[in-house]
Amino acid sequence: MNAIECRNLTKTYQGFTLEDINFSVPAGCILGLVGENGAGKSTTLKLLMNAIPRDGGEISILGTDNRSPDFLHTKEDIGVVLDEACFPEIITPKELGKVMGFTYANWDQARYETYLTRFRIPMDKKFKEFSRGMKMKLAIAVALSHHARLLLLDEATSGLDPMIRDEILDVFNDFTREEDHTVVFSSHIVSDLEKICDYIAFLHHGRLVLFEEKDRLLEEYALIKLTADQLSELDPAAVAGKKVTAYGAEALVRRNLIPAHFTTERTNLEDIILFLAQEGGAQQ
Amino acid sequence: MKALLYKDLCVLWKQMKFVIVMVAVFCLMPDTGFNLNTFFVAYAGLIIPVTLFAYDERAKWDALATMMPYSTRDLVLSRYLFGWLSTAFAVLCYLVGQVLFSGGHKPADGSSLVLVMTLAMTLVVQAVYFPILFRLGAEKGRLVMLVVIVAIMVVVGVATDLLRDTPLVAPGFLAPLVLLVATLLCLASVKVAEKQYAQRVW
Repeated sequence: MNAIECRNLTKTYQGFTLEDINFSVPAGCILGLVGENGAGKSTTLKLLMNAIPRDGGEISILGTDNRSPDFLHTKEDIGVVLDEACFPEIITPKELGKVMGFTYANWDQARYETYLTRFRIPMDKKFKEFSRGMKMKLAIAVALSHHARLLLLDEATSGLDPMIRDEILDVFNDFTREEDHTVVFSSHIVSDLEKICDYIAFLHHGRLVLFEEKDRLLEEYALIKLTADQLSELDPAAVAGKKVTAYGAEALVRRNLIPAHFTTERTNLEDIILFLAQEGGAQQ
Repeated sequence: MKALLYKDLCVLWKQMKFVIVMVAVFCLMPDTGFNLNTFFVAYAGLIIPVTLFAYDERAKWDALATMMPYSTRDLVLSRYLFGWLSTAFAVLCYLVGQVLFSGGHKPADGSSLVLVMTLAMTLVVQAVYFPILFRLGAEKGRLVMLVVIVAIMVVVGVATDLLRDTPLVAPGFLAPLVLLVATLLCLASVKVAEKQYAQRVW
């Protein structure tokens, strides 16, 4: 079963169009949504939650059309963390627990308190007095304390130091140990996505340039360093992206289309995204 | 709805204790004929909910709330309810003040009509202004508030002028009529605000 199905999704703002987005996320997977600032990641997440009106397309979340009245009930099963925690600044975690207890039918106060202890968040301190890391951890504690089956995370680790990011990524990994638990994680920190994601969706200027299993991407692509002349001899279909300087060339290539005598290097997700973004930019 | 009201109550009590106490004190004061206490009825009915809009906006709460299991109706109605409850709180303080502190003196002439008219005006301003706040947010909407209040005052002024010396302005007829109109406007306003809220881009 797919946790998310998104068909022909379109949304236009002045000066920006999210164009014909199609993807499905199988239940139990972590999808990394990557793209530059303004690529359409947050807009996509808002559209998934039907928080903003769309211009076209269909979205089904956990088997429910997100424009149907039943979706309000489905939201009980979705935990959301935005790039800011968005809680009233004067509220304490204790009071927030009460608000969420009134909000979610499945609110688990014991689990919430366990997360607060794990994250070392004091119960009676005002939200505005927390560091950014603590604020985001509080938001994550809330998202994980109502037995959600789907987590939507919009830049949830941005602006955090590597140690806190690592701690949070562990929490997301734990969450997906249950086989029907799914995560959609938007970030421009590609290394975070590489650590935990099963699938990668790459949005570039409002278009879905790539949607692929992470392992397959790392398998399919390789880096190659060569001269500009050698580069011109390669099958254009093999070259997914290239950088040519006065000292030589570097290219992202499709491993299976490269002649055997060329030496390729293992690439990482960040390089793949950067090369594809450059190529995409050049094509526009 | 309960969650939203509880959240607003927490915010209100912590951020606006001083305002609440001030409203209570001034509304409880005996009516001296300067209508100071009725001014605070309007103040409570407008400033308290508008401030809550502003706090939510600063926290970006609405961006999160639209993704949580709150219906648009609950999100909108909770804010109206708070506006009405704030107004009711101030009116209650006023009435208690009249009973406790009048010292057996008769209230100033026409003070009941002034209270009813103030109450109705507060409800009308809420009815006109809240949908604008839901659409534009507190920051942009604040500028509109002054325009709304002035426009309503002008309409009331012109209507009073036209209806002067007619039986329509008799207190026994006017007070229930304006309250009825204000209540109907409020109910219609909730519907309009729901549509505005659904169209807002977070």
